[in-house]
Amino acid sequence: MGHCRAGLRQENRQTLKTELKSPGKVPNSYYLRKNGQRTMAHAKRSLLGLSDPWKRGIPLWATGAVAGVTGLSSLSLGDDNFYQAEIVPLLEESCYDCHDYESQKGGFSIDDYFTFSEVSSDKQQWFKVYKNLQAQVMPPPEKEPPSDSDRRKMLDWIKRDVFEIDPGNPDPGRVAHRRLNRVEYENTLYELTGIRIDSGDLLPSDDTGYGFDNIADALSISPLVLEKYIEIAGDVISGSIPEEAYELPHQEIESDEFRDSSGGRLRGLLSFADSHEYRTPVEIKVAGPYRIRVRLRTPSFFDFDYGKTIFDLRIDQESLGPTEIIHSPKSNRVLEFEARLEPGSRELTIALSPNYDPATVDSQMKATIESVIIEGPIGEQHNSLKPEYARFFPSGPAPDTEQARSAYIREVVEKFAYRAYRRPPSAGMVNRLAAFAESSIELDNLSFEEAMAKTFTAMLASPFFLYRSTEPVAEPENDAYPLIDEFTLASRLSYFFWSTMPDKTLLQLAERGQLRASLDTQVERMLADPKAEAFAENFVGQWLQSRDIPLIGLNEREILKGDGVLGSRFRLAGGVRQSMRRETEMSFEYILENNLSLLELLDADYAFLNEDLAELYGIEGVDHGEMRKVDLPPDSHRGGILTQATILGVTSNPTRTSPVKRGLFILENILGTPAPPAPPDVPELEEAEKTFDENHTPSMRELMAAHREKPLCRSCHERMDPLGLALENFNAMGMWRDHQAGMPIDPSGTLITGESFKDIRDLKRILANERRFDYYRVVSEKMMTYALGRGLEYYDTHTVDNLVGDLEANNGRIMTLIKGIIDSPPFQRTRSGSEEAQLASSVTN
Amino acid sequence: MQRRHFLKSLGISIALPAYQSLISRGLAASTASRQTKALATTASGAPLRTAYCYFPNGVNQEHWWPLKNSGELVLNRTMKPLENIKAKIQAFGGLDHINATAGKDGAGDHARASASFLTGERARKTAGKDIQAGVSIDQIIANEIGGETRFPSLELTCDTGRKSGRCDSGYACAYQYNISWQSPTTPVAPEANPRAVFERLFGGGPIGSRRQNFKKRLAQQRSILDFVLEDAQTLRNQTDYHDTQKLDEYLSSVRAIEKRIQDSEKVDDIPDPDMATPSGIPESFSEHMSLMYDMMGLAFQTDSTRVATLQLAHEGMNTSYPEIGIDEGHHYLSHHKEDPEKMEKIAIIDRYYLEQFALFIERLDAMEDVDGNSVLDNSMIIYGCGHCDGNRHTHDNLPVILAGKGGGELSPNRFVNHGSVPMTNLYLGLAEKLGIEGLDHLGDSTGTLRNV
Repeated sequence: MGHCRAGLRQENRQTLKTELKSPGKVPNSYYLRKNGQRTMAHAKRSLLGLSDPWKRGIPLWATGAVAGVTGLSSLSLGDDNFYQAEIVPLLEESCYDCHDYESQKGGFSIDDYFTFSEVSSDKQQWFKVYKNLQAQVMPPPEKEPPSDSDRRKMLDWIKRDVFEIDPGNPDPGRVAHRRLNRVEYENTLYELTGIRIDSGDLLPSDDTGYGFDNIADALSISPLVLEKYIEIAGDVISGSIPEEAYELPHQEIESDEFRDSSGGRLRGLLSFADSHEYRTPVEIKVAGPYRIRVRLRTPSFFDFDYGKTIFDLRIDQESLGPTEIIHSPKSNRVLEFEARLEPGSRELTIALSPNYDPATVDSQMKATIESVIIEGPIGEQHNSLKPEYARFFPSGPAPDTEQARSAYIREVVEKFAYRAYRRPPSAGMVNRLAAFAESSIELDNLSFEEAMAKTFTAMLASPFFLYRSTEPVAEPENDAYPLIDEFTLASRLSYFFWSTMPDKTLLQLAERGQLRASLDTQVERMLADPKAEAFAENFVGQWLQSRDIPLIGLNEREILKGDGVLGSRFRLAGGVRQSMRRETEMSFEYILENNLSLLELLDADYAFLNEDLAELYGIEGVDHGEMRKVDLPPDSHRGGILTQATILGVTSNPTRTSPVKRGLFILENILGTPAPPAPPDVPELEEAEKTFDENHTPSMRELMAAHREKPLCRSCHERMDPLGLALENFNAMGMWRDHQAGMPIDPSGTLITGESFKDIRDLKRILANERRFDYYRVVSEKMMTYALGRGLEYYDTHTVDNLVGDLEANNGRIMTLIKGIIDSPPFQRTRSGSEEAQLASSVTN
Repeated sequence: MQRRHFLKSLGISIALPAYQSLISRGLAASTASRQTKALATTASGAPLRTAYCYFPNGVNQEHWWPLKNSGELVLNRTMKPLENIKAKIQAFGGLDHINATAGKDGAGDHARASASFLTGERARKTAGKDIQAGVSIDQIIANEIGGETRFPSLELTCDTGRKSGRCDSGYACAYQYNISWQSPTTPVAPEANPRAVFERLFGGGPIGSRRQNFKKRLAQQRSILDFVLEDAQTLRNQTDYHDTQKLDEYLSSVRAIEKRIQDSEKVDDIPDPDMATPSGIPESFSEHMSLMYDMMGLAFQTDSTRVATLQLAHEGMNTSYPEIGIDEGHHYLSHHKEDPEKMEKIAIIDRYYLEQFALFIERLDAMEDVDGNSVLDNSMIIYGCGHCDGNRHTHDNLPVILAGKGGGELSPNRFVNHGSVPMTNLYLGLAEKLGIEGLDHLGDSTGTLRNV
């Protein structure tokens, strides 16, 4: 019983129980006592069902089993009778001890929900009930839990009756106009202009919500930020439009396209002491004079070096004039040759031969050939439009006549607006943009390029660029939850996987109305694109916080001192931190590339390591500098994200581990049962400390055990502590240790759900097996939050259930989840305007 | 007195000695031409500035509280760096923020402490949706007096690292990383880069070219704003459901910049400080603090703004201070559980923050203002935290210092223990001294504190 008071409340409960046992009978006396002014709600909810205007069949994209409406009796849905007869007894049995009118633990009293209509009008409260029941946080451990079938029954009832979720057509919610966050803004500008800014330096940090920085509601704008957008846009645009429209035609040949006589590539350093000859074919289209430039590097020694080589460039074995290369303090050099070239396939040869006697002269001279650039034919008639210029002005500079120029301006603004706004601009918008450009030419006396630059700048400060908005397909009449149009879909996909704007393919498919039909191939194409690195970097980087590792303060000396290693000069240099971050990202990327089970993130017999990281981890035999997959020995305690230095580091204090933070991290990000917030009057830890002998310095485990003695603390810490303590074998930098505070570490423990483990290897197995449903749910919720840019609501519960069910049916394969999210109603649909208005007014009424 | 007459009657700028090259001439003119009681102006006709500086995680009380509980200020160890300037500061006890306490909301004291600090409001417990605190006092003041200067207000921070994942106990991160709120639902993101602050205030480029760059930027902004305003209205009209909040935020930002441009254009002579543009965020935290204080001081000295906030670090910050030999995280240490070693470290940290503040105050006092007094004399600068005891998360009896003489309106060099009154009462008292009328309520305020 502990903290629940007995007495009057018990009596009260008896009365209520009796009264409620006879459905329909209103316990007036109680009611009046509780709230004298209120009258009983008469209207029973109309039955959910076919009469509902928006109820429809299951749409094509809906996947997976329609789960979660089992085990209910035949009583009417959304019915007060059902509530009274079937649900109230269960609530009384499991919840009423603490959540009655007298105790109102957590401000929640079941007595406030006398009729079903009172329940259904307070969905947010019942969403909390749902989450606590679902996660088995409630009833608390010291209470008798409901049977699995009773719990299921309550959950299903909440989902179906209280949340009124129609499994075939659930409320998809809505996403507010979502401002591009810093990363998205930087990437999108790069796609549009080819210029990469350092947004971290130029813009204030974005506010985050629900653990992510792409949440529409949390991303606000202020005058300062808007000023910065205007300024950055101006700088980027003026920096990306070249002053000259035309350039000489040129082709660049990378050095490794050259081969020697035995087919070896031209690579690395060529010693001046030896002869070298490499060739490559080049295609010449037009006859004429050409300029050929060879870019190479020689090491720059301070002392003069007597090594010399004769560099010869030949076309079809005809020398263009041998050049001697001698020592110079400058390491970057360009050799220029001129030649008249004829059309056809020509053979280009690079030859080096010593011009000194290597036997008598000691020389270190070497050269690295970087590339060969062939420019020409020289002559204005051959010049071509610079790609940087053509990016904005596809047909070159403005035509001379005013009429042609006006038409061209329209073409140019339309093209840029299409990309910048990620959808075709309306005719009105094109008119406005063109008028803005024209007036800049006429009134402000700007050149064509300047006027267009100003117009582009304005577009990049426009809300159409800065915000992503949701457009339903045309004619959403009578459809409460219409599909989003394919341009919105293209943006949702591209910002989900790439953190940037949709590419040409996606926009073209959207324009033809074929994107939705080709989702599977597009998703695969997008994930195979290098831009998909952003998915691991930003989604995993925030979910598992690996993005933070380069920034967090860890004091190596103090951490090691705590482990009994004194005076260490070990430093977690930037390179190691980068490797740490990559390890977590690569674990995810590997699963993604091979469509493996998400469970492998928790428990794997491999790791991604390089020499530095292997040294940190104490793993022998890894001597490569680049990060690579390494199979772990069978008895290794590594493998899986919980043993990675990122997570172990970001959950530590600067000088020592924090089992509480680590435990909380696992609860929030792996098991998904966040500890209830600490109660307001947390008894001090020092009180726990006082229970120890003066001469005994308690270990962290002892201290926390004493703290847990308090019932108030216990409910949270019983959840967090065993998880965090299981990781005590890893110090704050992720290094293995056997002792802490001079005592052997005991990592064993028991989860609140009953599973016992003796060390981290055991724990990983338990998480990946017995607790996998919890984990599937968390990953689903996290990824869906990230994909949608909003927090999850009660009406999303069914979608999440489906995702979890599909993951289980497909052995946790990651593509099941990704495709499941993309196919889900919240991703594919939106609330219509009229539905939104109706909801808003029902709240205010 | 003589000088004041002079300013009022002539309404033109006057030559002031040496350091005054920075003061814009436009200021004195605009101040003097006003007929009614001037806003944010001292009796002597100088600008009256106000600033709010926030430090995190509470204090070691043993070393913070002045040694005499009333009357003349007798500095304790932490405030010792203020000794030289003691005559121009005062400290308070008994100021509370009830809306930072747990109430029914449970854990999350750090989020509430910073969200309530300048608003007096209880932050709505949400992880992202429907964020709500209140309009902060600096923004209320900026709304009233912002038109007097080229910039209505400045929002600064020395906090650069933003953690991934969730913030404090179910509260959105916005509460912990912002102290200024322009509307109850929109925080004002502060600027961390001193270079950006400088260039925004005075224009980019080397000395001599800034004025022109500043004007060029205004002209560019103006032409772009006209255009995007129409875009925003178009988009807002297309938005047929109740989802216009984000666009309203955008629209109000457009209008705020437009207003600022108009205010800037009133001043012909944009100051061009005789110093190199700061190169960016310094590695060292104390240098960063010092530079941001400098930017604030420069903005005050040049009368570019009269209201500023500076968040020295976000509430609950847990990084270490290697510069002063503190290896452990600040937040970790603040939960010291009465461990004397940790408490001592907290005292060292408290003093470290205070040293930077003291240097700032001294620099302000070395700047001569238009009326011959110092800029500090014509300022009211709050330095405080939304936690008193970081260990127990208490929000009453907050550590608060008020620096400056408020143009002669304040009675410094004393410690006043107010017993238990809302912190917001103090804000109302200071707003009154700025000449803001009709502001009789802020958050949890119960009255106007005039004993300052």
